[in-house]
Amino acid sequence: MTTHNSYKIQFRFIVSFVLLLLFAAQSNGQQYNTIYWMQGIPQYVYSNPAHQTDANWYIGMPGTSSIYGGFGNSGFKISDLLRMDENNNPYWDEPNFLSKLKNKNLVYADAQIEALAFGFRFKEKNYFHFNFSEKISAQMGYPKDFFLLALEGNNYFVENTDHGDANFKGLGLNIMHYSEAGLGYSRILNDKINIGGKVKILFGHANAYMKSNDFRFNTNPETFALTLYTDATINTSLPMEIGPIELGGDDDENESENGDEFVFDPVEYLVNFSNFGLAGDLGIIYHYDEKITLALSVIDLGFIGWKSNVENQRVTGEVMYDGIDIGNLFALAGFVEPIDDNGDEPVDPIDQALENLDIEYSQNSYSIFMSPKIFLSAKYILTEKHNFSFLARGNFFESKLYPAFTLAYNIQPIKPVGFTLAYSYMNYNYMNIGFGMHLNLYPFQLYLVADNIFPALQPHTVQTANIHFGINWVFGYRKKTDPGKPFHGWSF
Amino acid sequence: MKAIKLKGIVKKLIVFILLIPFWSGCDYSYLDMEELPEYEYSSEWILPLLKSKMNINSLFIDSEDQTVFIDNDDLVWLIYQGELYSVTGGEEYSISNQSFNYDLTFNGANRSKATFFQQISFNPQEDEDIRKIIFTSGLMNFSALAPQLVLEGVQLQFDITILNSDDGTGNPISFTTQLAQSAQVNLANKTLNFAVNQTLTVQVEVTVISGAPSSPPYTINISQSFSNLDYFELQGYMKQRSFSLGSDDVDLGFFKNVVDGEIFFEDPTIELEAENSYGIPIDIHFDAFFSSYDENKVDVTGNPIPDNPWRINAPTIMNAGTVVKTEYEINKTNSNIHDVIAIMPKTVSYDIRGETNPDGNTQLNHVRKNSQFRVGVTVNLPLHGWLRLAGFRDTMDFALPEVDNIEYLELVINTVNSIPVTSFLQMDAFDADYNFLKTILRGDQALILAAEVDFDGNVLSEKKSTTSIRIEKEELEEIKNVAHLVFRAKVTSYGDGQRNIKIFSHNELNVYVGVKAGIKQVINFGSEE
Repeated sequence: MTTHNSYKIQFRFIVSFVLLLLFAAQSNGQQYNTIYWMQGIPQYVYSNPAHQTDANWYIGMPGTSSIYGGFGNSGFKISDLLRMDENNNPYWDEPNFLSKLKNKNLVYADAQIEALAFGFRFKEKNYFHFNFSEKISAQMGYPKDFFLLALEGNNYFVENTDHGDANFKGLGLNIMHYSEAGLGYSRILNDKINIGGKVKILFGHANAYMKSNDFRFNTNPETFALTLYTDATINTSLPMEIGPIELGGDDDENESENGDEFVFDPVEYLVNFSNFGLAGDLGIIYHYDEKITLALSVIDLGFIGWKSNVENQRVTGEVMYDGIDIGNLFALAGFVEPIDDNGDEPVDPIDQALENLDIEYSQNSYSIFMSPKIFLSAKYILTEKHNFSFLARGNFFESKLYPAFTLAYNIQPIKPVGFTLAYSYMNYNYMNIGFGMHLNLYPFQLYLVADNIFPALQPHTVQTANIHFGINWVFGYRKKTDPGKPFHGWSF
Repeated sequence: MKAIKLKGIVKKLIVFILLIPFWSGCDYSYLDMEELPEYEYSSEWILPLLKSKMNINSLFIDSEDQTVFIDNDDLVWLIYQGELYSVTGGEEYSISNQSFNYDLTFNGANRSKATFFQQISFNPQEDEDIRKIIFTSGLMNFSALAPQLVLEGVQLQFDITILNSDDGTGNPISFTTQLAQSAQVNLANKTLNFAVNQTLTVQVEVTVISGAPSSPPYTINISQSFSNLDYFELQGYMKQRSFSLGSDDVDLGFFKNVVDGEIFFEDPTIELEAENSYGIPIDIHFDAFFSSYDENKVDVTGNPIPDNPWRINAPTIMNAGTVVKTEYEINKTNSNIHDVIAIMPKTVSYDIRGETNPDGNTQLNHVRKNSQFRVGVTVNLPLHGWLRLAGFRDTMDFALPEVDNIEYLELVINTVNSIPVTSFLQMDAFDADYNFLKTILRGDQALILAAEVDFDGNVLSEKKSTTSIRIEKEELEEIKNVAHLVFRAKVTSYGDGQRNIKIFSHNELNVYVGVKAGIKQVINFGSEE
């Protein structure tokens, strides 16, 4: 077997292994598609630790070296709901909006600020980089049936018997704030292969996580009984204590007995290192030949263990309401004597139904696995200064895959400048035009990357929006020596 | 050459892509809240309102007047009972105080003994021919007077024996007394056996125990009495007497609230049961026996009973003290019971009289103080037949929620019925002062469909039905002040009452009432004018 073929087998094995890991993951939604091959920007290594940026060494401007904000909604865009007729008059199109929703949809938002970053090349083939960042992410899965119920009413499910129950199982929530300290290393093994890895220590500050194993709403067509089936878990690690959820009864009874007001201490909050986590990135770059380069990376393989102020609430049970029992209808109509109820107080049917809900409260630590993202990319080098690339990325949330694909054109016409134009399919939306650029004004570097520029132009068409920008100090661009190394130069 | 061609293509591609956003143009109109069109929210909701689950146990319940019985075939019977009691033996038969005075002519010399036999006859209360009395209490007093002998200083001893009596030990009642003294005997647990005409023989032995009678014959006045007599048992011939047990009404709750209609029970019966502890042959006479509903009345007739007296059994002398039962069933083969029930009576009334010894003195009677007879009348209505009934009852309090955003309300009534009875229900809305507002549910449309039956009346399968009553917004306005719902119901058995049905204990009826509401709300996003 040739060395080339053995590499192929190993490559396929790695891809399969990483794909399997994705099925156990929770997503945190950060997107790095357009930046993937922008080697002039040091932060591009975050998407593949095997990358080595052009600069021999760099320092990120503290607090502004990497500022990222992103938003995405796989379900719909505004123009799916608010449409224009032939006279250009807006109207609400509920049927179209509902047709666009998938059974499970995801909306997410995340932000990241890099407090400190630096990197350097060591003995030509090795590259180290370090970063310390604050990251906030929020994802919420929402099912289509939720909107069907709200907009159509429950009679929709009664009349469409093939639909089944209103299923809210895709409802989930994960909000997380954590700090990340990462140390990455990349090495050029030979002419063909670069490998890299990164170890990240994570410190969780706050988390709210909800997962529903079963969440259905049923309307019985014969008895009209309304039944809510639920099996949901809510885990939180927050600066304040929430306490057990109580349903029914007087509101006064549900007030916390602890009359102390909550006071937020930001220092205590930020230096909380109780919620420790560990994650890793892996990457490999394979130079197939002079024109084609393949890359595979898996980002955020890891977890955070939540220990401080943890609270767990597991809500299970069936809540059913089937109307007021009037007892003997024939007694009502006068054919027989009514049964004496002995003057018993009538039971509130709502309170009675809620008694079937079991809320199990505990304070056990828990772990949340980070959402690994797998990037599979191929680059075709057109010329020394131009290349095309194709990228496939997978995100998982609540057992559903949210894929994205990007086709990019990367150009570095002159040494200090690089551009990227990208076209992406993300969140089931085909209209995502991405743009990226870096400008080196020695030693400062400004960069700006966005997966989709349409939010600035036509926000109603957008399901994906993000922006990533920053300032670095970059030093020591290397001259082009052979195809395995980064290049710079102007040619069009 | 190829590279130059590629560069040209790439240039054009870049320009094309860069121009895309400009072709589309900037458009922020969707974010202008004031330009947003009004949104009409419209949805349809169905909610459970009422439910009623009934099986036979909830339809028919045991009460003071009604018993629900399930036979071995699971068929439901409604049973209504009444009973009358006669007076007890102690109340009907009593023994009056008895008093006897008789003279004995004594010719006795010194230390002589003379024996006298005196017959006394008890007078019964009526003209019974008593042969035996077993006493629980009583006193017998005996005194003998002879003034002449007293003057002469003679003392006599009297040894008295009541022949054919029993003092409780198997010996006759006997006692001793002296002249001018009174003797008293407690008759408790003692028995007197009488000869014909309630006669007793009293043996009196007179002995001179002191003094010497000098001038016989002497007349000794005997005074003997029986008082405060209470018996345990009387035997004899108690003659013919008439016991009036009075009258009674058996309330048939099944028809209590029926206003109109027809009903047919396939096998109704009236069971007569007599329990008798009198040791006397008795004939029960029904001086009145009829069913009635308001002005309608039908006499119960039947052969042999109640057209003829009903001879009830009596315990024999060997079984004295026991209760003997006699039963008779009035049914469709021996009476007009179908006619009796057909008027849907509220009551079955009867007036009973008992005649003792109807055949005369044919056997020895015995009566105990607690002897009694009871006549029970049980009307059995097995739910097998057909019916076409109407009933009326009072109201259910009810109030409508706010109706501003409700375009319509649709009452949906689902029934699952394994009882072979079709029900029609009319529901009228009234305000707080019982002013009529509107008929919500018309009574001419079947609300609950009967389960299908075979030719024997057995249910084949349950029947489901759905009734929808749509009330538009304008109609909701008419009944927004509703405070009471008045129900009128009509029921017919399967096949419009043309076929027999059977109702078993496992039959049940479930009624579910839901309300379907169309909600409409217009939301304006523009600025308020």
